[in-house]
Amino acid sequence: MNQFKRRDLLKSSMAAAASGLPAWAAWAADEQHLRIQSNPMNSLDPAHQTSAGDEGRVAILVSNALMRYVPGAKYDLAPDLATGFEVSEGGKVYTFRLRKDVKWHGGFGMFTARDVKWSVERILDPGTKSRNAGQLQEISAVEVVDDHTVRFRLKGPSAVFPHALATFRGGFMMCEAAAKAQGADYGRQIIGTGPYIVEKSVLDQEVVLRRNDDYFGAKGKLDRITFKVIREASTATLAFDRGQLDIVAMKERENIDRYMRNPKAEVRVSDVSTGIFLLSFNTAKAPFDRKEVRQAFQHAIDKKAIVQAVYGQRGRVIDTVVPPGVEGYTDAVRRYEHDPARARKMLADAGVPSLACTLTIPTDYQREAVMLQAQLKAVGVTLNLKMIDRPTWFRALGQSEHDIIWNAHFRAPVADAFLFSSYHSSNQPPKGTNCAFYAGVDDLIDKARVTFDDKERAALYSEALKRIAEDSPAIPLTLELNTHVVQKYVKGLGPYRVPENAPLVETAYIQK
Amino acid sequence: MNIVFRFLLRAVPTLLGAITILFLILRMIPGDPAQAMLGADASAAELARLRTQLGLDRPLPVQYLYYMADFLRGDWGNSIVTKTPVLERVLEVLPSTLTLCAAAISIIVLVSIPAGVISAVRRDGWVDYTVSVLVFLLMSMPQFWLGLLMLLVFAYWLDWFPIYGAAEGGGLLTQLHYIALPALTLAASFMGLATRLTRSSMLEVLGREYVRTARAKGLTEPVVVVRHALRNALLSVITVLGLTVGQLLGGAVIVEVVFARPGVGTMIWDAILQRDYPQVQAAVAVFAGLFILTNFLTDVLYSALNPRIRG
Repeated sequence: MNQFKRRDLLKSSMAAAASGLPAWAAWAADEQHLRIQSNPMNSLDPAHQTSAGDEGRVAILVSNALMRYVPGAKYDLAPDLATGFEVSEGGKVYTFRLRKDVKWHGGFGMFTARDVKWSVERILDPGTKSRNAGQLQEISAVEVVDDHTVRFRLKGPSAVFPHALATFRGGFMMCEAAAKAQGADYGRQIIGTGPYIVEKSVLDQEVVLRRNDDYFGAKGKLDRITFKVIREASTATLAFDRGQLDIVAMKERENIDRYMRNPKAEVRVSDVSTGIFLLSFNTAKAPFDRKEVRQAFQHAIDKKAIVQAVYGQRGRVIDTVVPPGVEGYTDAVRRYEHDPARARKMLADAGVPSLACTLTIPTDYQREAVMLQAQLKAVGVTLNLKMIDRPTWFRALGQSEHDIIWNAHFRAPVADAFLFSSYHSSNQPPKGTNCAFYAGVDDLIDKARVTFDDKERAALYSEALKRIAEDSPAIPLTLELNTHVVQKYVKGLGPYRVPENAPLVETAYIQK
Repeated sequence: MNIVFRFLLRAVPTLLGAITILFLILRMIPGDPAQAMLGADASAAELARLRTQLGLDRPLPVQYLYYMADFLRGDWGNSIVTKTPVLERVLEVLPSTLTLCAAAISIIVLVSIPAGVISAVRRDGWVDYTVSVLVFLLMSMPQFWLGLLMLLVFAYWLDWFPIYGAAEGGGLLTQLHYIALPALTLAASFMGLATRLTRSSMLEVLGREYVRTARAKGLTEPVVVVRHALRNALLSVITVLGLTVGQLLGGAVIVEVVFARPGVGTMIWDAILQRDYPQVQAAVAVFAGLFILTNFLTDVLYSALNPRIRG
């Protein structure tokens, strides 16, 4: 028996030993089964979800909210469990009409307005200890008008309230009857109304979903979807190459480049990013209290070079502090072309021809930090790096010690979510994370919140973006574009959708 | 009865000391669970509310007293992140980690002891040199890297083993199929240690007078080596193996993450990243308890095997 045959024999006996098992072994041969790599999840319970990306991606297949975002690069809200809503009393009362054909998984009856009231009140109840209570804090009361009409009374007028009830963390609806029947297991075996039913849920290992043939919307084509938790990127890559995974998220530029040349894989890049990286100046500290100095930094930094070197496919240069697609986004803001000579002259004119300052930045972004350091050196600025770990960085964002700090805004696709917490003076540290200590657009943010005319509100946000670009409390650098590699035999994968920022799998199927 | 009492007398203070140190170390790492959960955008008000909910706003000594009181009453609390009882979660995945460690120990014993004996008997021969080189190679490879290398060679290129996961159900063959690479990775560096140790204590014993006597009696070489020399040489090997169990548990963290196996290791990994204090504390307390228990069992085994200290 030669070497080759012996190996094959061993291989087939191993395969036989594993047959009939989940994970890498196939399910029934003709079953439509998609296997997606995931990060560990904490909870699918809307009260305790922490990540719109990892948990939200599963939650949106299992559960519904009153509203959802339209797939693709425009972040319009569309009805989900609601059929529409009316606003009254100057924006303080919202009345939602609900679908009448929605069935809970597992025989828990029909979805009604009572479930809405129960879901929202449960999250707001301090006893639930929900980390998502903040999302619904505008609500003062929920009233069941009839089985298919529910009314929200707000503490003050709000034009952006429907976003709070969309498919984002605390916005997913829960089944009162199921939660009571399941008790403590509720966070694991979620009963939803969505196109897929939770079949197995071990959140730090794997979640398996099965198609819901009673779904009120377009039914999925896949019989099963498995989200397999693999923490180590190299392991996931090997599993993908061996055909043991179908979709894997990619972060490293070198890996992405490799898959671009792999004929068996397709690289998908998100076009719906709601995540941007930026540098925030501490405008309460000299010399960054002067606009001219901040603008000189804008000219000194070559964003394009950083994106090309570090991000490649998964980044795009950005000049605004909200991502494209968000209400009010405009590219008609002041842009600062890379011009070291001009930057040098502006600094000299401002009386700081040589400057030493510190950039506070998490160790994950070392490559960006080193490039920034070199670029600023060319204009006579000595940039010292203060490299810290992530949790320390989170804390630093709510403090005032930094000169310049690396910032990352990953938010719901709503202008208010980006502007209010980061640029409104009421959120300056220690109260919030406006660590630029900026106060120049308070009037616009406040006015937009109570402007119910869509066009007018968008215009206010555009104005705010222009003013922020001029004042430069922060330098937007790049959009983070989620990137996935997908096996070529996976067909029909939809566009990326917010807020989970992953391709739609409801329409996907497998054709080998 | 006496033996149990002696065990408890030693185990309880050790365990309490271990969890006290752990309690303090966890709180010295920057960032707290509230910050880790709310992320970069948390406002001070949100942070304060969550800290109050989690009891993190109380002074550290007060937190410690509450924690110890609950711990001693057997109420180890709920995970901050998942809200489920921490001990229940640890016990759920513990069997998987114990299986991995047991498999690793089996590999160590089955490979290292014969290898050590042969090296000692054929001292300075080519077998001895080959084994020595292999041993140092294994001992000096970081587990993380070795794990990826194993995956690359045996799961990816040769396609003999699955890349990730653990067998759920299935026969013994299936179980072995899934556990082989992780167990081998975990065993590797300890295999080196155990081989070296067997070799050196065999060499020592083989030079003793009673071995010479045994040979002089005309016993065959295998009988001399196995019955007279190995039995005595094993005493020190067993002591060290007992101690390595604790290190195996630590190594399981890395191995489980690389091979995406469920277990206490991956649980600790996630919990540390999220600063889930109660979960880390429960998992490490269980590890500490296991470590103390195996040390005790090693002692018992040692005295059973060694008539000189029996009594």
